[in-house]
Amino acid sequence: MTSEIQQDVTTTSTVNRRGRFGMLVVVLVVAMVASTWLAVSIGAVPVALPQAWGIVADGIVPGLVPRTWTPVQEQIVWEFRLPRALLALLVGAGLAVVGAVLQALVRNPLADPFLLGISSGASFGAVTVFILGVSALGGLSMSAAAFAGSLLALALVYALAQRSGRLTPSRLVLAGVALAYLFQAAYSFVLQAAQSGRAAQQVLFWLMGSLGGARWHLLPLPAVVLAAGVTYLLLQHRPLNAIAAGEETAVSLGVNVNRFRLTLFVLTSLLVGVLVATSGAIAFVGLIVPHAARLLVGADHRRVLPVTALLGAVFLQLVDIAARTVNAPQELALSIVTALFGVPFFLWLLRRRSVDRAVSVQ
Amino acid sequence: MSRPPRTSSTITKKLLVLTSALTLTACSQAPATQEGTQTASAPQTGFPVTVENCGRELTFDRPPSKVVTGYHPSLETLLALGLSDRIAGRTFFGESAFLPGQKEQYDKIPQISETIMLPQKEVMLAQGADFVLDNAMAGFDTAGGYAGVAELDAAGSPVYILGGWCSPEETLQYTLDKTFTDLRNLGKIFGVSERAEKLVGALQGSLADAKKRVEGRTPVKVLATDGGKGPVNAYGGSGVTNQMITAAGGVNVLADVKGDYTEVSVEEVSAAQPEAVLVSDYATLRGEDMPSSPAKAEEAFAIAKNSPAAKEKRYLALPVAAQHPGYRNILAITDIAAFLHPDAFTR
Repeated sequence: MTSEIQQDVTTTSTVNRRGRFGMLVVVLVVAMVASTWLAVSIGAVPVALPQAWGIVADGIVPGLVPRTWTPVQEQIVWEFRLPRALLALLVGAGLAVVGAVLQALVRNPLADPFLLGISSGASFGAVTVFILGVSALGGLSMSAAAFAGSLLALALVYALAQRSGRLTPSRLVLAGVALAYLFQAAYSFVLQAAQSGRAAQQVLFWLMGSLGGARWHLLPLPAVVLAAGVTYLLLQHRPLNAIAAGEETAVSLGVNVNRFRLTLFVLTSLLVGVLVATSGAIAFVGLIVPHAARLLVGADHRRVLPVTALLGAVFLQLVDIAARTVNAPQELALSIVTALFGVPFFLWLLRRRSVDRAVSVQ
Repeated sequence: MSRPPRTSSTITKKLLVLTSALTLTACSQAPATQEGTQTASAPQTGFPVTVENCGRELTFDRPPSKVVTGYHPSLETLLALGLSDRIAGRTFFGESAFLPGQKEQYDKIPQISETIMLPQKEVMLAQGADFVLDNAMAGFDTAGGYAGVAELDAAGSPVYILGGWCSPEETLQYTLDKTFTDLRNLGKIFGVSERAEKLVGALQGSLADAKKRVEGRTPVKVLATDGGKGPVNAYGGSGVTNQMITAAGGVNVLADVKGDYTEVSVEEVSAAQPEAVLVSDYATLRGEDMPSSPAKAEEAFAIAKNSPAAKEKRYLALPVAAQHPGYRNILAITDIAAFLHPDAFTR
């Protein structure tokens, strides 16, 4: 794996690839805008396009267009669809970027945002509040409890994985996976003890991810955290490439490997905590999108990160459109749709690229 | 119940007095029948009886005298038939208030499960019940560690499921008639057909009264919800809740949604423009304090904020036990009717 990644890094720095990268970013940005346009235009309740776009225009610049819509239509488009579409972009981009970073951090192609037990911790917090009531965790709301759970998991994973302050990838993975099982057991216990079919159905839906609760006031936190995180990671693309290539390479390139790993671990955990608290545990995005990005642009994180973020955003936007329209007005949990749509796409990509022999996955 | 309309609760009380009076009369008649079964091991007149339930034929050589009940509506129904002395074990109930007069009887029956579900397999089989009554198949799921229907059958504990809730698909096909069929079947099984007919008559009378009062009035658009910020947990156009809304002079705004308890898009709820909201009221986990219905109503009003219901904050906290086949569901129709059409119940 090491040599292949190094190879990728060298092959990607050709002029030819640079031009393609620019094109790809443009294409993905257009796709992101188009998919968001689609997301705002369709939903369980039909709102005609002139109205839908009038409402958005009016929301941005009040009085820009004459009002031809009802208050209900305005609420549907402005309070439900637009924040939801924006949240889909944020969560998709965030999960995908975290996946890419974790795959580099633990040098394992199977790593995803949920590998290190953070999401299980978040789910435990959320389920506890959901079943036992708000008073159980000192008045925390469900998403605050989810975030608290992810912080608890973070602390436990760190305590288990570090040895005199040093983190090694294999210890991180083992501690994370073990704690994930522990937290899953804990929330399954709470759920079973409640013995309520209704609560179980609601919690299961939440655990499998939904953007249905998106409102404007939920957007700033993930937006700020994600923007800060991605900016930092882009600035750190060199050490990221180095630790993805291996500890020895990283040390020889002057990277403080231990400190950088710790930083990445805390950063990704916080991102996952914020994202899971907002939208539940959406599977698959963080695992597959980074691989798809590497298939497209090679292994250099300067390119992988932006492409991963854009691809993740577009992917989750399309998935969420499907989740709320396929079976409308009932909604599907996102984890069902991510795999249904994602796997065929990924297999196609894998097949196409392996024929080209341009890059290898691992 | 947080904000029940004044009229509805008085109606319920009247009706409950009626049914409990019926229960009491039934009770006072009970000893004679009871003695008959206990002294003579010879088959009682009218037995054996056979009833059909969930595609199985259940045959009883004598009336069951060691009954185990599952989710609370199953116990309520037997208590309404004056059969409390036949019940050997029951589950815990703390979701909401008891029906008048039933708490005392509930307290006297041994509790074999500290949750609303039947106990695990070993405890269940150890009861040596001669009849098991429950509201759904969940308590007989062998994968969940419960005793299966076949296992209980083999142990001499035949299982009867109320309302035909034999599978998730069949819960969607519930009609109010099934409750009356259940009551008549239970009357046969316990040799108390006369009481069963009386109860059926009283319930049909109250149902007819409610229907008559709301007849000809414009149906009120109702959203039945269990809260949720998005998607909304709500009741679609199939199943017991939808039936109750229709009978009470309402129309379910989610009637087109296939399903009973399901997740519905916030858009749909916002556009539905309900005039009134029914909120499932229950305390989770052993009845510890979780005043859920006011918060759930607020969630619904925030999503349907342009609706008449939200403007008037018009909601009824409906005990979730009444949203299950039993007999409380029939009583609750009058509550809902009085909530939707207060004018029809002024007298």
